[in-house]
Amino acid sequence: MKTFGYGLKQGIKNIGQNRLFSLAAIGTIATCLFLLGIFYALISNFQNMVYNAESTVGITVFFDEGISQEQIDYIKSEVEACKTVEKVNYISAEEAWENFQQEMYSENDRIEDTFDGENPLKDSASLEVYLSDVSNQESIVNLIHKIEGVRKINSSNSIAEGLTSFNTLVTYVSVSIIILLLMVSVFLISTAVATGIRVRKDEISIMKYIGATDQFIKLPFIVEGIVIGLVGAIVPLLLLWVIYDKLIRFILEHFSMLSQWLTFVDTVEEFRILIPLSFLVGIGIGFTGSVLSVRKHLKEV
Amino acid sequence: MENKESLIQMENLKVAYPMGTEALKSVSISVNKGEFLFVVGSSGSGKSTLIKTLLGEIGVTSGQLTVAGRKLNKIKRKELPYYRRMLGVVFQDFRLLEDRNIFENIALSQRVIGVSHDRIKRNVNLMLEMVGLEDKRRAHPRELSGGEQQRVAIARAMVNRPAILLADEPTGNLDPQNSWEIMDLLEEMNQLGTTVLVVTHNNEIVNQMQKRVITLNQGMVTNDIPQGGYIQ
Ligand SMILES: Nc1ncnc2c1ncn2[C@@H]1O[C@H](COP(=O)(O)OP(=O)(O)OP(=O)(O)O)[C@@H](O)[C@H]1O
Ligand SMILES: [Mg+2]
Repeated sequence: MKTFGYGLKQGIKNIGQNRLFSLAAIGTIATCLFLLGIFYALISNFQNMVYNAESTVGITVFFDEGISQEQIDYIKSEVEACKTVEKVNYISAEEAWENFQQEMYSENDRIEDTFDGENPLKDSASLEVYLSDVSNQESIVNLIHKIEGVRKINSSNSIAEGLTSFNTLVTYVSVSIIILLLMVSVFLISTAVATGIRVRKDEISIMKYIGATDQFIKLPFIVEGIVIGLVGAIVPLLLLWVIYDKLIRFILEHFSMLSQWLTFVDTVEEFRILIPLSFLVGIGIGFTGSVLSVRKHLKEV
Repeated sequence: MENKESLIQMENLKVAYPMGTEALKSVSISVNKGEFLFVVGSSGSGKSTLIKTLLGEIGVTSGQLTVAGRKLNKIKRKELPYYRRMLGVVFQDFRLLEDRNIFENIALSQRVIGVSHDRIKRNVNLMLEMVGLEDKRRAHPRELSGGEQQRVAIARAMVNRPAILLADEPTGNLDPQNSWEIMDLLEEMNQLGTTVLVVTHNNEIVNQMQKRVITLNQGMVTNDIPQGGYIQ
């Protein structure tokens, strides 16, 4: 513990003594984690929207005219047996008509009389199919088409697939940018630590004469790396929190007509994963960078 | 009957630098516990190399080197720090750390070996008193004279109570007055039980102190006088 106290004190002193490299390293990690945060927010929100799209859009299956209830039940069980099908709802012709009226007309302005009590949608019984994964939608649609008695399938292909492929693209781009920045961060931290070692060359050689163990000598530099990583994580997290919170509020207030589509992940929910993730990456980079540098440069002193 | 304990033993010790310079060719010296000895010799004769070898800084090429029963020929990198805690070392250029005060310079020795806060305070203050610098504890090295700086270096080397004190030309940068003060201090440490090995060019000091004198010449011991003066 005494040793650790010394290591902590010297480590923080190191950062103060080579401010330039420490700041560069903190800046890069902060940038890296800021981007990570943005990409994470984008991806998680898109995923959230795709998920919502899946549960609202779905696939609608219509039947051949004059089909019997038995055949409908058979089709329903066939569809339910398909992989990634989460839920199948049967909407009878009566229900369809009821829904239609509710959507189109107000309560006191019913138009039932116009059709003499006859259901104009009598062949509109359908199955609403919800998938657990929209990327499978096309193959499922093809499968359902082959079932006898199926007349027509409506599916919101473009929206769901567009969201999914956009999500994939964002993931690839962000992962590559983040990996690149991570490497730059590791490099900058090892440079900061190497500079620290060079500056403290005399101290290190004296400590070696006195009988300091390698661990004792290394500790301040590893502390330095970890503190840089920590600061590099805290800064973007604070920034992202404020920005995310403000942005979502702004969008929901000013684009309320899109609120059915723009279903955002709640700020607290969003950061419940982002905070530990950022700390883990920050500390990980700090530790890796300093250990690499210490291993390489300490022997030369 | 020999009743003195042998602390350092060198037998046909050969030490070569990686580049091929054979700095010590065949050195056989035995030093007893509690001895005070000078090592003299012309420039390049291998005096500093002898000290570096004792510190484990350079490996033994051949022959034997045993310190307090520990064979230095086979010492592992991991064991070196613990071996060095038995030694104190002082250099011609003091090698104090400019970024901290005198107290912290001396305290570093104790921090390195994990001594508690209270004990560090007690031990360092005791050392400051011993070297006569109690009122300079908050001063920084550049605010001290050469003689004072060397006294701090001796305090740093001695605060952990090592069995052996190695000094490579400790008075090389000092005037005669300060040189004598340093030599008196080293003798005091010796009287307290530390074995002291001093490398020096100062024949006046060697002649007057009448201690054991080992003369090196081109990596070989050419003279080993139990009590005497500078030969050359
Ligand atoms: N790091 C080194 N690499 C290669 N050769 C060295 C090294 N240090 C010293 N030598 C050589 O080893 C020999 C002994 O050097 P050493 O420093 O031990 O001499 P010295 O007796 O201390 O001399 P001085 O009185 O000038 O300090 C010399 O020939 C020197 O050139
Ligand atoms: Mg020398």
